[in-house]
Amino acid sequence: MRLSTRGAVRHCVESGLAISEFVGSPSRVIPIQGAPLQKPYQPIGLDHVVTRDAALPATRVDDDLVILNIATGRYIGLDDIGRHIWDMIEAPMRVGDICEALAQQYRGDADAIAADAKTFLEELAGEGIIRVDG
Amino acid sequence: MSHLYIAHGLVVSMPFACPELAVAGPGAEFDVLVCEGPVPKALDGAALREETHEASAVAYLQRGGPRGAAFLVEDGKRILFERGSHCDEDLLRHLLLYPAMAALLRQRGLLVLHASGVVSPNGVVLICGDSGAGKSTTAAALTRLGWPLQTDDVSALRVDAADAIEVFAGARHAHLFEAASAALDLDTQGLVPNAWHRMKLAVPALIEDDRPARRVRRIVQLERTAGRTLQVEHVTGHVKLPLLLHSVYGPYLPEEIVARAGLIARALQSVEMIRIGRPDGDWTMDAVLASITAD
Repeated sequence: MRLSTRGAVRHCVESGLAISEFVGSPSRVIPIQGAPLQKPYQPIGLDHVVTRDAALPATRVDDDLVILNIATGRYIGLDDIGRHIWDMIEAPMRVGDICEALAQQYRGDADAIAADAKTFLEELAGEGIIRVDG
Repeated sequence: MSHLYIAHGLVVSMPFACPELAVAGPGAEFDVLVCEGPVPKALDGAALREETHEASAVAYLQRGGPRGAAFLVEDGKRILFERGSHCDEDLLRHLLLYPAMAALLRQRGLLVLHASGVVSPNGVVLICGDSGAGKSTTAAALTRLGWPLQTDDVSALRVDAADAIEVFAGARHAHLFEAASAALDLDTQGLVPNAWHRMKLAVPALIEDDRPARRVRRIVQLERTAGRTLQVEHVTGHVKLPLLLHSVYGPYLPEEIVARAGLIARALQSVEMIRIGRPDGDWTMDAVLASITAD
């Protein structure tokens, strides 16, 4: 997730790579039976309240954050802006407030940042690693 | 009669002599028992069933052909084997010391990598890569520079008391193609090809007299590329995770990977990772070694 030339928050979840693509090395792949790799995105609006799943193992690696998702057998890599949002939603937070904080911090186009931030949160919701209320 | 050996920090009781391993000191008590007996055809409660092997959280079953053996590895403590009808003893030991031992190390909570390691002055350098990438050859070449071999092909990692990643001492031989041995000017007179990789030789390598677990400093991923020049990339950030998982000596169940999240996290944070792409078909060992040893 990086600032685009418009000053907006750009695409966010780097991964979606399946742990199962790797853990069979050197000779095989292990599918996780019955677990979909990704759910459809849930449309998220400014009045939704989001909270991260605190139980997921998350690791800081240089400027990035790596999250292992046992439920889907996938890992998710977040860059510094994604990590910033992840930090913000340790406690429940309204999406509109997240967008406002990002617009202030990164001084970009507020509408573009809000659109990108909502897309980012929808991807996290699709990965099943945040809770969406409201 | 049983024989006691040291492998990957464990005392292993074997029912036969195993010249590939170091003999345990007098009075040692075994951690792992290797014994012969009937191996079941299937594993109860397996989460993974494949043609050649099955796995659950506590057991691993490997089926063998007539020249090899079948293995049942249980609880990180016992390896039961059953010889095939035309069992090749060299192949039996190879299967025992590599895939069966790797399964046992997984069951003991370690992160096992398909990697060869050498001891640099600043810590162990692990060489990873797909089959044929040149892991063992590169490790052997590094021993020629005076960096002792720590492990070949199976590398078992854990977090030490100071929260650093360390790797146990494993094999004392590097398994090399004859052409690679010749290119490295290694003496292979009298050596017999490895039974598993028929074209390879088990070449005795430079090792330390005392072989404790040693801290891992760097992981090098070797890749063959279509380019004409050597490509060296220092890997940082979340991209380190797929590099690390690509070299896992599986099969691990996904929940076993997550159960090692702390160990993986420390590896990502504390171990340097480098990807080296070398031109396919060219002997670029000098340049590879220069990249690995550069500091």
